[in-house]
Amino acid sequence: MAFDSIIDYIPLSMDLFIKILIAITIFIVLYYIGVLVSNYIRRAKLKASPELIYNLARTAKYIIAFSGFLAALSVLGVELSGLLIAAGFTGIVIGLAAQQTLSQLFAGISLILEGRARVGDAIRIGDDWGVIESVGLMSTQIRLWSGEILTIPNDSVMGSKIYNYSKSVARRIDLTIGISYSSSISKALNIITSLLSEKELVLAEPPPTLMVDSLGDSAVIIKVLLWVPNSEFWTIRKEIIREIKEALEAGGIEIPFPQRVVWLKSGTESKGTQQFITAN
Amino acid sequence: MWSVNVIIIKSHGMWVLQLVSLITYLGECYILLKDVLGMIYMDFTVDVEEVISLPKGRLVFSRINDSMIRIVFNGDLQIPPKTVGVSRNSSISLRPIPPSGNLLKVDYLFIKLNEPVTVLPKESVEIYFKLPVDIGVYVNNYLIHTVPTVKVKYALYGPPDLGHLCRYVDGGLINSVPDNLLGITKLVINNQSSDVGTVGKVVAPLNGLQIYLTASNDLIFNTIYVRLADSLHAEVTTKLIPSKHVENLKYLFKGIESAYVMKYGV
Repeated sequence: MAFDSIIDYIPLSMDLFIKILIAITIFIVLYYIGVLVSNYIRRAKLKASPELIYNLARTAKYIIAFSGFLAALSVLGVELSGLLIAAGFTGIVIGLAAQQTLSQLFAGISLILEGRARVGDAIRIGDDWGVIESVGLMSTQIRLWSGEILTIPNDSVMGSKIYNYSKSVARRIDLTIGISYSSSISKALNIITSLLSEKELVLAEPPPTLMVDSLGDSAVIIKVLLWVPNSEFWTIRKEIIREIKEALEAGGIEIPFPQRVVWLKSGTESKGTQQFITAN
Repeated sequence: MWSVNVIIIKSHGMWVLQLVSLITYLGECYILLKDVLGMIYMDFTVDVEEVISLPKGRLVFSRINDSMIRIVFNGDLQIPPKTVGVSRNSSISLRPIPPSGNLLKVDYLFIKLNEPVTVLPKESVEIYFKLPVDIGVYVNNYLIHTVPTVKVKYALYGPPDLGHLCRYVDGGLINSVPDNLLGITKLVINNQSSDVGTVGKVVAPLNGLQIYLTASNDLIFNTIYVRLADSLHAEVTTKLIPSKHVENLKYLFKGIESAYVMKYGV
C-alpha cells in the first residue's frame, strides 16, 4: 500500500524533483566557477600584495557561490524579495549579535587596504615579535621568532601599535656606553668614531652621532647613534657592542660597573664602629 | 701555504729553509712583476694558485679541481670568498669597473662633494673630481666577481622608508686610493631655478657609469649632468660622453644613459 502511494506520488512530484536537480546543478556549477575564478585570481600576475590577492580570491569565491545559492532558491520557487527583506532583518540581528566578528572583518579589510603590515614583514605588535604569515579578513597570523604561530583578531591588530621593521631600508642603532669618570671622554669618543668609520656596513651618511648623554652615578654616559642597513641590523649591533668594548679596553678606557656603598652601623652609635659593603 | 712551509722546516732542517726562502723570493718577484704590469688589466689562467696584489690586500685564485677555482681576498677589506666553475684553460681577466656594492647590493652612487658648490640662477658649472674603480673578475667575458680597491662605505639618501642605500664616495675615501685606480669624472651642474642653488651631494645611478681607457692607461668616466630645479630637487643624468676629450679612447665598461631624480635635498 505504502509502496503504491510512493509510486503514485513520483509522477506528481516529478516537476519538483527536476527543479531540485536543476537547483543543485546550478549551485554546484556556480560553486566550481567560484573556485575557478578564485584560483585564477591567485595565479594571476597582479600588482597587489599577496594578502589582498588571497582575500580577493576568497571573497570572489564566496560571492559566486552565494549567487549560485540564490539562483538555486529562485529555481525552487522561493521568493527572493521576501528572503532579502528577511535577510535585512536577520542582518540587523546578526550585526548586533556578531558585533565583534564584524568589527574583525572590517578591521581586516582596512588592514589589507591600508597595507600597514604585509605578508613577510617583520613586525612587533605589543610584546609579540615575528614575521607576518597571513593577513586574513578576520585574523592575522604571525610566526613568532620562537617559531610559534600567533593568531591575533584583526580588531586587536588595528587597535595596537604596529612596529613594522621591513618598511625601511636603514635603521638606527642606539647604544649607551658608560665610561669611568677617570677616563678621557675625548679619547673614548675618538676610539669609537674610528671604529665606526672602519665598519663597512655602518652608514657614512647619516653619519654616526656620538654625545655625552649624562653624568651617571658611576659612569659618564656616552650615547652612540649609528645607521645601518635594515637587513644587517642585528648582525652589526652585536658586532659593534663587542668591538666597542674591546676597543675601549685596548685604549685604556675603563667601563665601570655600577657600585653602591652600603653602610651598616654595628652596635651603638657612640662606639662609632661602622662597616660598609660594596654591592655591584 | 706558509703554514705548510713552516712544518716542513721543522722536520727537515736548514736546507729546506733556504728552499722556502727561494720560493718565497720568487713568489714576491712574480707578484711584483704583476704589479709593474698593471694590477688591474691582466689575463691569466689558474693552474694551481695565482696571487694578485691589490692596494688593500691580495686576491688569491686557488684551483680546487679541474673545473673549479676559489677566489679569496686576504687583506683589509671584508670580501666574501667565491667558488666559481672555471676550467684550466679558461682565461680569467681583471678589468676596472665602476664602483658598486660589496657586502650590500646597491644601485646608486652617493658623491659627497668636499665643499658645497653654489651655482647662480640659469648658470652652469663644471667640476672635475676622481672616482675610485672596483676590479671586475671576468671569465670568458662574464663578470663573476667584484673586488673594491678602497674601503667601501654606504649612505642613505632620503628617509629610511622611501630612500635608497647608495655606495658612498667622498674626498677622504678617494685620498687613500692609488692614482691609477681613480677615474676622472666631470660633473656639470646646471641651475635652472631662479634662485641661487647649492649642491653638496649628488646621487647618480650606478648603471649609468661608463669607463674609458686612454692610451697612457688612465681611466676616465663619463659625464654626470645635474639639473638643479630648486633647493631640494635635482635631476641627475649620466650621459655617455667622456669626461675628458682624449684621442683613441677605449671602452672598458659600457654603461647606459640613466637618470635619477633627487627629491630629498641636494
